[in-house]
Amino acid sequence: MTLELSLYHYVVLSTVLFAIGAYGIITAQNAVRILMSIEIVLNSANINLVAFSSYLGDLGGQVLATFTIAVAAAEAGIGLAILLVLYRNFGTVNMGDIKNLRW
Amino acid sequence: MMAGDLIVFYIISIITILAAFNVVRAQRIMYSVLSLTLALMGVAGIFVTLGAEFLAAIQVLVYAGGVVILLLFAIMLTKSHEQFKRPRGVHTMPRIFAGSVFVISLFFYITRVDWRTSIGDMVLSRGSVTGTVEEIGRQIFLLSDATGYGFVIPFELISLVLLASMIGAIFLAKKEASP
Repeated sequence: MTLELSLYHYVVLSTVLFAIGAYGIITAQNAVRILMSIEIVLNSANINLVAFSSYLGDLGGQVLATFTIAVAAAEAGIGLAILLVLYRNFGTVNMGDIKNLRW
Repeated sequence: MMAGDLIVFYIISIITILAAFNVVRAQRIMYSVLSLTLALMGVAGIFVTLGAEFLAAIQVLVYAGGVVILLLFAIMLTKSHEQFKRPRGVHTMPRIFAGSVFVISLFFYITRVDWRTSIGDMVLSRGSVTGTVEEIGRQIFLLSDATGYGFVIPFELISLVLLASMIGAIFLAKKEASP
């Protein structure tokens, strides 16, 4: 570990957040919690983009991060609309109870 | 003697990591949404420490002002706030396995990778980049690269993506017409 703030710190933060988000996507039972974990994963990717943009002196990373935020917001909206249809059809959003396609 | 920016980074990042962990492991989902708001604000703080002010403002506006509100609507409309997490004993072993896979691989990644050879000396010196609105606008519209258009085409396509997602979400979520 370095004693000066470096790119290393931001990449490690991004990795830890990604791992937490991925763990949430795998183990969550409520569908809304899964969507929240997806948002955490997307934010970790954004941290990575902006950190590299800052340390390389290139603003393209920040522009790409802006686009990523826009797409993530659009995807969250659609994901929640799908969730509402799911609730309408099954009566629950608990992923453990929706078993029609399981063996 | 640690520099001030290192202390600020550690404070913000520890808050963000703990909030993200609470999103995944909280009992009630309302606590989860509030922790997600805190985590997203922490990420906005990280953007400020990196000098990306425009992006930090966009992060606050879009995520705290949009996505979190949508999530709250979804929780209320699906009545998820009345359910608790299942008690321990169900699916405990797969959870522990997934968690330990992540923790062990994180440990190996953080401590065994030799950062100096893989990233080089860009690690310590920040490039001189300012993330103000004017600079980002200049990067989108006035950049002269191989295509000659910079980021204008993705900028326009994003508006189409947002329009399509709005139409799709409204169409999916509206009540079915009664026969």
